[in-house]
Amino acid sequence: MFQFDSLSAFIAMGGHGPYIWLSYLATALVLLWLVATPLLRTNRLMSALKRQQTLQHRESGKYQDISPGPRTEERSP
Amino acid sequence: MASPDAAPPELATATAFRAVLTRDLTLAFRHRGDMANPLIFFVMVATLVPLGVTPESGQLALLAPGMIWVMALLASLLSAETLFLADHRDGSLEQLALSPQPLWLLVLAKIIVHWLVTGLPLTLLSPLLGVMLSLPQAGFGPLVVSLLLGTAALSMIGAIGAALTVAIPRGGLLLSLIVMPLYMPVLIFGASAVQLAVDGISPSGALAILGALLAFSCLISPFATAGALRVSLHG
Amino acid sequence: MARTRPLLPEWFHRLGSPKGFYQMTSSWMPWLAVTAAVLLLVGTVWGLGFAPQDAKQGNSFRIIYIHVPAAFLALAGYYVMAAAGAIGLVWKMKLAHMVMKAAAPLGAALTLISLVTGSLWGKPTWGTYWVWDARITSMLVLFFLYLGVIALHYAYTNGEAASKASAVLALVGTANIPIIYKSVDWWYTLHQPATIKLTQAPSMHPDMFYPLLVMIAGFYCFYALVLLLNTRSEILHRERRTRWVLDMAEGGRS
Repeated sequence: MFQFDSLSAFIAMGGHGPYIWLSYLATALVLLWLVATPLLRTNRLMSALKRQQTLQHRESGKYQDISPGPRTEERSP
Repeated sequence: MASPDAAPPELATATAFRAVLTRDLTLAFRHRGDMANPLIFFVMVATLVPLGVTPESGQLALLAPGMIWVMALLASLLSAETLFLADHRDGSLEQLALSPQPLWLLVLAKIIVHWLVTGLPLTLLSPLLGVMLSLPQAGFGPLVVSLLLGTAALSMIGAIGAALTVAIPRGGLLLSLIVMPLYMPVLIFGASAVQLAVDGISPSGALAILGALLAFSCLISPFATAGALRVSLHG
Repeated sequence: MARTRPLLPEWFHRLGSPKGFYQMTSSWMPWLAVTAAVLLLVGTVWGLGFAPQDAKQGNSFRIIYIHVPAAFLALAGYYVMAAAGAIGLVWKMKLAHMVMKAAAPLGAALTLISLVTGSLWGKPTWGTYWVWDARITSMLVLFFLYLGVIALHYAYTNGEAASKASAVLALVGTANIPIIYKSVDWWYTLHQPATIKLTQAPSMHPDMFYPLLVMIAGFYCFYALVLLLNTRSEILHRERRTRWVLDMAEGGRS
């Protein structure tokens, strides 16, 4: 069962509070950083690639328009 | 492509070994001024301890075994870089790697010469440091023996680091970084041997382990160094 | 023509291909993440709030629930890194080199956690932030070994050479770890002060031990998760010009 009488007792940890909470906090930060780094890196790569692909499609799209196709404009009589 | 008069392969290998040995010794002798640098460093650093800590003889005696060993380690670290650097710069390292003889054997020859030129003089100079740092009488013998075995092991271990960093610009500091954890067991047993003797206990156990470390490094280092050289040279 | 049986099974070669590995592990990731999160959360809450405090050390011993798992993984992680390096050298497998590259900073971070939490544990328990005993000193040397591998990898400009060089160094360090531990242990007992052995683990009541098991399992899952995340990220980076990666980027994969 819960080992502490109150929330303040839980935080104080019998006087050892700062050391315990600092340890857990520092560890949590490091673990989060370890997970976040590759995720952010992959995101950045994927967005950059997507942008690059969009640009390329737009480029090749331009050239397609030049080839003659059915007239879309109606000339006024 | 051996002609009928060519020497059998085993002889060629032994010849190559001796050739590298002789060449390196000759080169070292020609630049014998360079040999002095680690030694001067060694003696000068010994002066730092009394200046920085205490000139009092009794306290120096307490620190002496470990301090002399630490200084020997640092001096070895400094000279580790010189093992392959000059040969790499003028292209002869590349030639060595291309030769038909096993690279690990030629590397072994280079390491032996390197030790003869750096570690051995250090060992012979150590009693002087013992005097400067008030090392008790009982420590002198074990100091020389432990350094004899230890500097040889340090040369072997340092060679691996030298091979890994030879192609890196300003690789000297990186060399120290990667090699120091590997040096630590040698330091522990070397310094302990001297300390035990000073305390009146037999140092033979520590010296035996030091010998084992040397044997182990002789077994691993030539091959690891050869492999590392190939990575450095050819990527 | 008679068909000879291949030396290694098909799935091994598929595993060796970065694309195959990426696709195979994609389904694992959410499970791994959830498992790691749950285990770590449960273990933390249990250890912090529900495990009985130690008779001698009081509440400070609760740091063990981070310190010990981190130390385990830091040490095991070095062998993972070295094994990956060995496989990469022997079989010339790019994937193995990528795993090794991912394992190095991960192991170093865990070693750092272990050292810091150990130090914070030491202050309230034994009155000092640092002591040169066998285990702590060996952990510090392990940290240096990791840093060396990372620094060497970083110093090489050619990626392939970097992988091979750091693999050689990692392998050499592997031989060193037990030697270092034994040496430091011997050295410490030689100079041991008259006081009791400082980092002796407290005798463990089962109620204290179970949350530790949960945390160790959680850290293992976390290690696998981060290792895979980094390896997969590296795969995408290296294969960024190939069709399958570009298609995936366009497909709006987040």
